[in-house]
Amino acid sequence: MIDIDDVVEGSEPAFLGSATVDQLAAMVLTLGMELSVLAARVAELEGRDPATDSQSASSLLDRLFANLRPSSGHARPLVAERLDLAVRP
Amino acid sequence: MARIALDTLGDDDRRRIDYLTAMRRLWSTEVFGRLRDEFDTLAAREGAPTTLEEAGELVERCPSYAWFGFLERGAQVLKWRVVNDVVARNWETLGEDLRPPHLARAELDPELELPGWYRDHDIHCQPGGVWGAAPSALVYEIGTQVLHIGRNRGLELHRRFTATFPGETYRRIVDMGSGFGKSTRPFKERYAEADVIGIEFSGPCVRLAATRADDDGLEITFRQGDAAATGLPDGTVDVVTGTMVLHEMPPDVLRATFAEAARILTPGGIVRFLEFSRTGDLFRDAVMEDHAWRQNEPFMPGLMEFDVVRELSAVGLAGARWVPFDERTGELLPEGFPERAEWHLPWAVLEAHKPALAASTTPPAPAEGAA
Repeated sequence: MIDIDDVVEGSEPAFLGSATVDQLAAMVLTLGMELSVLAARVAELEGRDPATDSQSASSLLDRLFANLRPSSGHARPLVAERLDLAVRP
Repeated sequence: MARIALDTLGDDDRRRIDYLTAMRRLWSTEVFGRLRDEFDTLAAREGAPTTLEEAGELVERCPSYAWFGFLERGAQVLKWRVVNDVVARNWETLGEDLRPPHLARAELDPELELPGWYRDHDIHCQPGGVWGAAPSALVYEIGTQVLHIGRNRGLELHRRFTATFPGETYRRIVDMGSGFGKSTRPFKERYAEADVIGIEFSGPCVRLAATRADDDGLEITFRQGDAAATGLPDGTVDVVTGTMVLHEMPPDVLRATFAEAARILTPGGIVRFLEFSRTGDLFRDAVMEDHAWRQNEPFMPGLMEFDVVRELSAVGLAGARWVPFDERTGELLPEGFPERAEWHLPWAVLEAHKPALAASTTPPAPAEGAA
């Protein structure tokens, strides 16, 4: 079996300002993945269809993306302000 | 119905794959859409770029670009970690898929020395590449189902490409860089009488390709070898094809591969590769340029710059041109790339032919949908 640690050379490129921020964001996305598995199991136990359940992968990702987006922590959307972007619904 | 390793996964692993696919879908629609809005706003305010370099500089100033880049690279890295883990945990079951084929043939060459340009980076960010350990081909097979969102389940995309070929019959078809046979099997499905040969560097992929062809009752020969030195006799092949393989090659290997195609083609034979090309939309092309680096595709920008018409002419092939291809419908679009809101790869068919007579440049029948 492939041992990833044996084949990795160098570090991953950083996109979000620093490698640490990238690693944290990657951990959040990984956590989201495991939460989606857990949510699907719970939905099945409760007799709901995991595919259409509100905790499905897509809805979970929607929330993760919204909260991870760099501008989403600001009271006013600095990105939109700077670029005169129309506010999205 | 072609079977793939993805079909044998348990519920939890399937949900992980679903999550990754959903992530990629959101990235390609919402995040890409936001990036495009930002780019258009900047371009309207400061003037539209006129070169790829200017477009690249403008894209990098878009606030969402870092997020877009992170998600593309991050989702890819996460994908391989997940798929590698899935294959490791299910290896006992999945490994049975690598049993020796009966109908198809896997011709392995243990002495084959893989070139450094192929071996020295992890293409598509897949740890260890597709050529190392035995499970790497299965990891690759599952990974491709997550990489290409949209109508690309199983062999769908490849069947649509195969359907564009103009001939009713061919005697011999060679698929260069055949991988695990996803691009090769549709040719045998459509041209049952043809001798179909896949040439592939990766031994694990050759084995998996033959097994999958066996599953589908397709008598195909998969040969571990170099597309630039197939060992096939001169003038014995009607069709040289390949899917997403040229952009993996450095320029000197591209030239050698084109020369090999010209050598093995019979007069009147055709070359048709499904690849990616520049679109003329500077925003898309600039994002695509960086996509290559984010995905560990170091030679992709080189293909985009490569003068394929001149290079194919230099080896005696005529009528070389790129024709945009709609991967959703299988249509060839000689009028150009359509506008689409979502991120997608700029699919295009590179086609040429070997003149039937030495003094003639009369092309074979035009491809379906071509002008």
